[in-house]
Amino acid sequence: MIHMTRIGKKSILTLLACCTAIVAMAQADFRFSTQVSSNTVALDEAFQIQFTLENAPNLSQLLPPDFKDFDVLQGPMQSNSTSITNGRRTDVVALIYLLRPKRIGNFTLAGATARVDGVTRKSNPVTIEVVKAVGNRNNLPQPQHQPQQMPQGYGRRPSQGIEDQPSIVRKGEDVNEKLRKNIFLKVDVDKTSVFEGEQVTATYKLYTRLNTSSNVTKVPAFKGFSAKDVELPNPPQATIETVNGATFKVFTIRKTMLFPLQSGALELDPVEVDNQVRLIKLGANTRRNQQLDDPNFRDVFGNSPFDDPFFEDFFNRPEVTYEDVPYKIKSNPVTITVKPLPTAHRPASFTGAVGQFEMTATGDKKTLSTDDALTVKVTITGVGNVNLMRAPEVAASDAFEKFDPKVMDNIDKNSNPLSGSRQFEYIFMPREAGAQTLPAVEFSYFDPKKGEYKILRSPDFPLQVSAGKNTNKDKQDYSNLGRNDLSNIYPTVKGWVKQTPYLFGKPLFWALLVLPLLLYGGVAFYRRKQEYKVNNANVLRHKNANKVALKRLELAARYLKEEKDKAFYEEISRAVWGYLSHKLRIPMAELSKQLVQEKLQDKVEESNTRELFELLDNCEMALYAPVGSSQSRQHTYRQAIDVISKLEDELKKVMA
Amino acid sequence: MLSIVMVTMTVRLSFAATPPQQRFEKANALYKQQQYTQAAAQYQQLIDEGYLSAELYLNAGNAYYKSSAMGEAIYSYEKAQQIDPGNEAVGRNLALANQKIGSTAQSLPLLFFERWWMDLQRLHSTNGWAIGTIVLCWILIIVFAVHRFISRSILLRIAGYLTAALFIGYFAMAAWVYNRAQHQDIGIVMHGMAKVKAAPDANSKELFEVKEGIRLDVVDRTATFYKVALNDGKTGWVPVESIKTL
Repeated sequence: MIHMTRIGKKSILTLLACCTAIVAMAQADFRFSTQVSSNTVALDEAFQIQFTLENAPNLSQLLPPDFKDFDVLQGPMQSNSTSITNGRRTDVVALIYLLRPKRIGNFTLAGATARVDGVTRKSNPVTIEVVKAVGNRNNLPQPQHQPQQMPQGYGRRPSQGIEDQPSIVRKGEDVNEKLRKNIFLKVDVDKTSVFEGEQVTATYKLYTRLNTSSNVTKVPAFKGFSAKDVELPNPPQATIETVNGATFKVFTIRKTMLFPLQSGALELDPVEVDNQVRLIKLGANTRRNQQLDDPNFRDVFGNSPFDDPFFEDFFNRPEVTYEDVPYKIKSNPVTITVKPLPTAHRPASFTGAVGQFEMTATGDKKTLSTDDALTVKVTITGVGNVNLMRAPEVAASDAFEKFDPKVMDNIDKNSNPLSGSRQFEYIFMPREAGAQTLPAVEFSYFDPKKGEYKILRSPDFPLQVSAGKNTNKDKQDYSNLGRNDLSNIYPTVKGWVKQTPYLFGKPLFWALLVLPLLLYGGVAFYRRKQEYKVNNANVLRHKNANKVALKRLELAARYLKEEKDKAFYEEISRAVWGYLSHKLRIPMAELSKQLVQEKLQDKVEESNTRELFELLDNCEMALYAPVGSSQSRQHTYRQAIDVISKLEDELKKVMA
Repeated sequence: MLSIVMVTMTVRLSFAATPPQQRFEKANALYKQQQYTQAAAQYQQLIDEGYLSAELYLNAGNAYYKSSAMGEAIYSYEKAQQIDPGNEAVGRNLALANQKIGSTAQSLPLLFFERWWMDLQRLHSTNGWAIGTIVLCWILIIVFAVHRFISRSILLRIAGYLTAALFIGYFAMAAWVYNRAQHQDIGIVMHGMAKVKAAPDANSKELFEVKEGIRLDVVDRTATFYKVALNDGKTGWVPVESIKTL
């Protein structure tokens, strides 16, 4: 009987394999196999070899291999049996020999040959290790009459499977060697070189031919992988596997789908199992087992099965001691080479999906208002790392309010390789009315079989968005302007003024600044010129004062000859005053005796000034009270010439 | 002479195709129909044509805000605030927008003299200061000429000194305001993230990222990069195209 309990996550696996049990295997398929009772035999030890044919239709011939290195002690014994289990019929034909080796060494026995349905089939070859005989063995194992593959229902007694035999430790037999050969762990990996994200299935199996109670003490951590365990039957079911001719019970400890998360050489940690192996030790041969005399025992099995010399031998041993031997086993670490995904042609939308996938994307609406929400369901179905798939990005514009997608998984638990679907439910709230388009959903994955990237793309989602009722919100703004509402837009603009180009720094600016300066300069220049002109006239007059005066005097001389008295005096007076005006730069209007005196004071001698004024007085007198003498006129004339020339001389001196 | 200049300026101002008010109202209608992106595009067209108005910028900001273009929204509000600093609606919306992007960039309240200085700068527009400078220049020279050529009255002399002082003041302000307008020292991050680099070079190390809508001080500039400073004192270089200066 097998009891297996798994306690929580500790995965404590207890195996109890009993020798009395043979698992009924409902095998409808054709099988042809070779089994030996022991792979290691002593030189003088006999062992049994059995060729089993299951469900062989039209068996016409069954030939054993050549036993050239062995003596045939017994056989051939052929056994035919038929069983019907769960409605399935199983026909078993077995050919059994009892052999004894002739020499020490390793020998390979080729499989038996059978002609089935006209086709020649061969069973598996078996290697037998023959060692030196140890001690004085007085008994040989007796051949079994019942093949161990025999279905339970057929046997007249519980089959003492060949598993029995390894449990028996004979004298001098190396226990450790025995344990090593009959109980071990094996890791099966379906692939050893994969791409990042590609599935690897690792199966940890316990092979045993012994009676053992086993605890799994260390489970692998699977560093660098995302692991998904395959559910195993509980209690565990043993399967029978033949390794090198020996039949083993195989318990699957753990079966895991692994998805490498990084590239490089990743190691699968070993699993460790603690076994308590029950071994049977044979002591001295003294008395018969009580149990065998029990009539009930006999009743159960009908006729006496213990007539068999083997059982006689076995049960006659009175001191059969059981010993529980602790034995720790560890599986070999397995290295898996993980290739990085190619970087060339990697699509932008790639998020790490590896496998073979299909995508469907559906939007639930085509027309909606800004109050509604659009639901887009994207379902990605396929085989690969479905459990690690990330949501494809939907590049919706700002016109939509986006929410994180809801993820729903529909992964087939029993699938291997992992397959199933993952659904992403996106919700979009349009913010704006009008014709909008939600861009296509793009999903890309890496196909490890073809070694290339594939891009899946849904069609675009054109939408007609109408203005929703929440326009009311804007209206409410006037009365109830919430803390988080925008102030409303302005209906009009106060003045449509354009941004004028900057004036500062432009040539126009500088021109306008410089212009008044230029104008000012112009005015000043003009005034200056005018002034100069005036000044220039004065200078000339000053220079020519003498000449002008002389011309006037000439005129006066003519009047003198013509005896025009009045005109004569007028002319003299004009000549003198004119001379003074020009010479002293006094305008005619301002001219007065006083001013003249002031001007001449420090420039001209006193006598000359007196003479000048005397002349002017004379002229005035003559003008208003004419004195008629021609001599006095002559005198005045000469006096005028005299005064002017004297003044001219003296003023020249002063001016120079 | 002055009148000629004014005439040329008004001629330049009154050059427009379709009445902007009509288009503004059309954009408003789009906004009311919740077609925010299109409304924003309409407002932006008016802005691009050079219309300068706080109302226009506020509406554009709202349309951008509603279409989730937060960088543009904040830029528009900032611009509106620049034109009309006392506008409550603008201040409120800007605060909301900053709150939405999670920016804590609230500028510190100004000290009284800083406020005075800001008010003084806003006494005239940039061109107002420049025109004032020109007008004062003319007045100054006229006063000087009169004093020189016509009457040497003491009143004229005092008037001359006053005008000269005002002229210098206006000129300095015009230069200052113009310089400030030419070299904007505030930028808003546009379109997604701005990657702040350690040096003004596309290959240099990336220091940190700045979110869209964040207000930055522009400290220095090259042809393709701005050196920016954050409120918390972090500095770095961003490409010119990732921020928009006010």
